[in-house]
Amino acid sequence: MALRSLARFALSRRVADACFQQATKLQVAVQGPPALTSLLWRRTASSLLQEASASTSTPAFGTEADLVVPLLNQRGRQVGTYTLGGDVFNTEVRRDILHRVVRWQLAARQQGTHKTKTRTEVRGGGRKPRPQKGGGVSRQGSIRAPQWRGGGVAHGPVTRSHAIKLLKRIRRLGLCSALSAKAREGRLLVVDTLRLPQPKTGLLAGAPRRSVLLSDLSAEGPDGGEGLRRACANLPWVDLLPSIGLNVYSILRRDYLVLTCQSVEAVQERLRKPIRPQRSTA
Amino acid sequence: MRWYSTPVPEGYVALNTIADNPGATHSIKRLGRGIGSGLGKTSGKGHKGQNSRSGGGVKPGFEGGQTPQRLRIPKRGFHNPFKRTYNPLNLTTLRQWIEEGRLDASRVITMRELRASNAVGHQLQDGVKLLARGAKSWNIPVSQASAIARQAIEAAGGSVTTVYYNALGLRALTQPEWFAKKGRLLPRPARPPPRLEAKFERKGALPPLRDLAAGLEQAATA
Repeated sequence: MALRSLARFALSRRVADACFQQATKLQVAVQGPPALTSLLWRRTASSLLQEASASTSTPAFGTEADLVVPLLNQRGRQVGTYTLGGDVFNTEVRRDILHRVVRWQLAARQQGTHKTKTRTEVRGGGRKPRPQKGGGVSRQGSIRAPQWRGGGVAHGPVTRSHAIKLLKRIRRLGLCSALSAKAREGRLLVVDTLRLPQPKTGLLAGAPRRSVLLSDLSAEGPDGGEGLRRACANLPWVDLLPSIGLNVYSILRRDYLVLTCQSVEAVQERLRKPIRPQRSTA
Repeated sequence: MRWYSTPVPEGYVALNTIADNPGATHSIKRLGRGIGSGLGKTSGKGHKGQNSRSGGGVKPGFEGGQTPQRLRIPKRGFHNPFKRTYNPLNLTTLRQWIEEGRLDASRVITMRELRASNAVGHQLQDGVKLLARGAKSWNIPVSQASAIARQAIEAAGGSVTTVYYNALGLRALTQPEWFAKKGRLLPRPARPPPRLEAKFERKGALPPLRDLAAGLEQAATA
């Protein structure tokens, strides 16, 4: 078991190295430094851990104190600082809640369109196949009974919803946990904009192949929009979601999370809005 | 997908490092699924008899034909169909709500405001009764008030009015939007029944009383 996991680890490292080499080759081919290059280039997990531990001004994680993070541009250069709301990006990371939310998401997306035919639904079988007595063989009432070849299925799957219920508060707690986890691991990057000069995949393809989720405001938004959607549509290691679509599963299945300022503001506003609107006292 | 992911470092959160708390979920009992499960052949129902059949067993409280306990023991007490239950409201709560800005003390606080600000709970029964834990100055039309609460408020320069609303009137007071949604007119205020007349100072104002001046005018003309 240990050997197998070691082997898998080694394989994945080799694949990652190969990807880096390929990426550097590609980078040469593209004119000028591509977008997201240095944004994701040096930010391996280990170097980020060192960065995080080296900066002493960072408040303790999980305390809901606001986080001040560098504001980057698309090339990965710092252009300022950005303050992330501690109630959203610096909460306690609850792995149990994350697990529940992921289960809820995956269960809800199951189609549930599985079906087998029961003995009443299989064609035919209305006639008694042979007399009840006198044949010297067993009593049978239908040729579509479950024990017959070609018969119906007993207790088979039926079309149904697999969805489970989860409180809205728990779902929100999960999203805060996921965002906080990425922030704590230093794998949450805030950029000023993701809008590309042209809707070209080549502008993104030279960046290292990091599993990354990008998030902008919306398809019509000024910070990404349709051009970015076209550019990253064919890159299997890049996901793109509008801010309203940010969710626990999509965040956790990618290593890195890159948010634009506007996306951060929108998700904060979404998570701070009271679940039950305050009744007016007028 | 996995190929683009780097190995998950120790302590990081990823899809393969999250789990629910131990004991948070139960594993389901799988009945009739073989000897090894311990619930195989008879699915834990034993052999034969009423309780082993599908839908078998007797209804709860059935004692095999013997007079069951709920019939053996005589009835006791009585049910008062005219009982009126009031949601309690203590002056401490009121003070806190006003200090926190959840209630506006400069206007008349009716039961509608009390319910909307969640001071007396969402489900009003027959109205609100003011109780005397704490005291401050304000004007509050409620269903009932304890003598000490009334004294305390009047000593502080405020006033308490006990107004009667029947169930429909209370709804019209607290949720007039319900009538608008249904396209119905607001009901006319109901007089209290004779036996309750002495307990109330006036019948409730409908449409809901919003500010003191209008309320006093209405009370004067009525």
